[in-house]
Amino acid sequence: MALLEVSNVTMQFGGLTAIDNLSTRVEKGEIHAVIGPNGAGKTTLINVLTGVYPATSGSVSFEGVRIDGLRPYERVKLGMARTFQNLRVFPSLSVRENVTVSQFCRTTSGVVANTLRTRAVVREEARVRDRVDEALNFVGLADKAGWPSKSLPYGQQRLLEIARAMATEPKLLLLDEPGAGMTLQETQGLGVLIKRIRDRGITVLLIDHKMRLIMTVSDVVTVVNFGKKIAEDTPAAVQKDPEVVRAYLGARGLRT
Amino acid sequence: MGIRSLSMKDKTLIGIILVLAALYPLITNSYMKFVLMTGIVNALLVVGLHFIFGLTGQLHMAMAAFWGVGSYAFALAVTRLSWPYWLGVFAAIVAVGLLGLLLGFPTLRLKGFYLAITTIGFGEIVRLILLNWAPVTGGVFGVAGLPRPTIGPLQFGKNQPFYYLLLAILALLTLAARMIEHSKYGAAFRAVHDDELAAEAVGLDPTRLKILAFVLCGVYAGIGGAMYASLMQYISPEVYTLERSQMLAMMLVIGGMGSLPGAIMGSVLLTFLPEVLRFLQQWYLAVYGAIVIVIIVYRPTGLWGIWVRATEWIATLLKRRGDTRGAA
Repeated sequence: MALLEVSNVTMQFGGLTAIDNLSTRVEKGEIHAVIGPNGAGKTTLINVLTGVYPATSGSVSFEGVRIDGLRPYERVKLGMARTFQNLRVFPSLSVRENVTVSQFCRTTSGVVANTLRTRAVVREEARVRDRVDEALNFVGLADKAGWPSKSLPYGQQRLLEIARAMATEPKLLLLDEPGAGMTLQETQGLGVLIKRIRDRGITVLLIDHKMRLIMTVSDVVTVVNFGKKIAEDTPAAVQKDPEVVRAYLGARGLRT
Repeated sequence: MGIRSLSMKDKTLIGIILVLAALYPLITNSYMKFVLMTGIVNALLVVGLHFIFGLTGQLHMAMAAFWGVGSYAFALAVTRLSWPYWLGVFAAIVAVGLLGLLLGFPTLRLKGFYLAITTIGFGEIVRLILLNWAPVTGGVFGVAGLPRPTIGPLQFGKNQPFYYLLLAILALLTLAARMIEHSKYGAAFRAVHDDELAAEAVGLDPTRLKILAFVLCGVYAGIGGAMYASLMQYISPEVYTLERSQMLAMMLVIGGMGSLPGAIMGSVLLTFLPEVLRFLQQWYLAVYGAIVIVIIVYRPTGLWGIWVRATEWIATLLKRRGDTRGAA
């Protein structure tokens, strides 16, 4: 059983078909990339998978359970987390608080218990603090925990979003162009980070433009164009696929 | 926990409560003493509004309706039903908490100005019901003969003991609000305020959190409404107007959005400002408006922001004097 199974998903906005009858499977433990030219429907796909948009038709299953009717926060609880292409850290929260709110869905204490700060709440907060520390350490932001999140440089805000997603304790992490706006050096660090996420047993669905990143980290690559899947294979095989070369990489072949 | 380990906000909160406690005997004018009491009741309401407007960022303009239902639930319970005093207060809490739930559900999908307009309409409906459902609410005549509380042998019938009871309730409810604000709920409310889509993407249910904030606000408004009724000993529908909802929202904004000490400062000072300016006669509303505009334009962080700046300034001044003395 695939971790995530996408079956014949179509997403239409009025007369525009952003995703056209797309099916794919994300297997447990792999880094699965989705690539395609601008406007191919990649971000729309992430929004459909995470529940921001309800698909026009088709179905999405996570661990064998249909999830297409669920709200985004319900999918997070099942183990799907995401980052955003255009940064969406919580500006009025500190770096630490940004990651702390991700643990909310993994805690059970109620308002009254929190008002009285019962012993159970104190224990829960200690556990949350450990998880948050771990997530911040994982992306290398532990020393900036007290900073206002908006004062972080761009690339580090991206890392903060990854830490925030990791703190929801996901089984599947959907990264929407995590390399956008990053320098070459930062992108290399990102590639290492993505592999470390996979090595923790978290499956990764990665969307990006950066071919070098995609080709070095991915196990499987799905290529979409105009909302349709045109190829799906290992990075090496996809690079040689004539249709992919024509649609995306350009007639003269691969450029990185 | 020593006093030094407390945050600036916590120290200020303790300071405000102490100042308010010391203020009452210092005021000699009995009318001004009464204004101070209404200021404390307003603070109860504004601390409630802090949850939904200050923390969660929802433009809730039906605060007068919450407050009015609290007052009437208490008043009708203790007069018509002859319930004991504190059971009447409890009835007010439950009534307004349920009202928060009722307002929360239909407004789940509304944001910003749409929510503001809906809550304004909601407030008007409640006001008209209080006014026109005469067999129950007493209509324009209101409800008279409302009691002051007793706790065991303690009597709070006179203004002075009642003032200190109000202040104790404010201190307790402020402490509770502070605990919630510092808990996971406080951060979750602020996350919903910042970005609802991102909040959902990290597993928060914005709808549930907003309803929770509405209900918390309702609990505070229930207590505030009951205490107002008990303070005045007579209530009538004409005070629970949109203008008062705006006034309560303004107290929060002038105090400094999202800061609990600011909420209390704003409530007390804005309750007093019209009284202080009364000597200006027909000009007082114009001057009052001008003062409010100046604060919002030049100090958008409100009285709390001014207070923070002032304490920093004094601290550096003291430090500099200490340094020069050390050098000499």
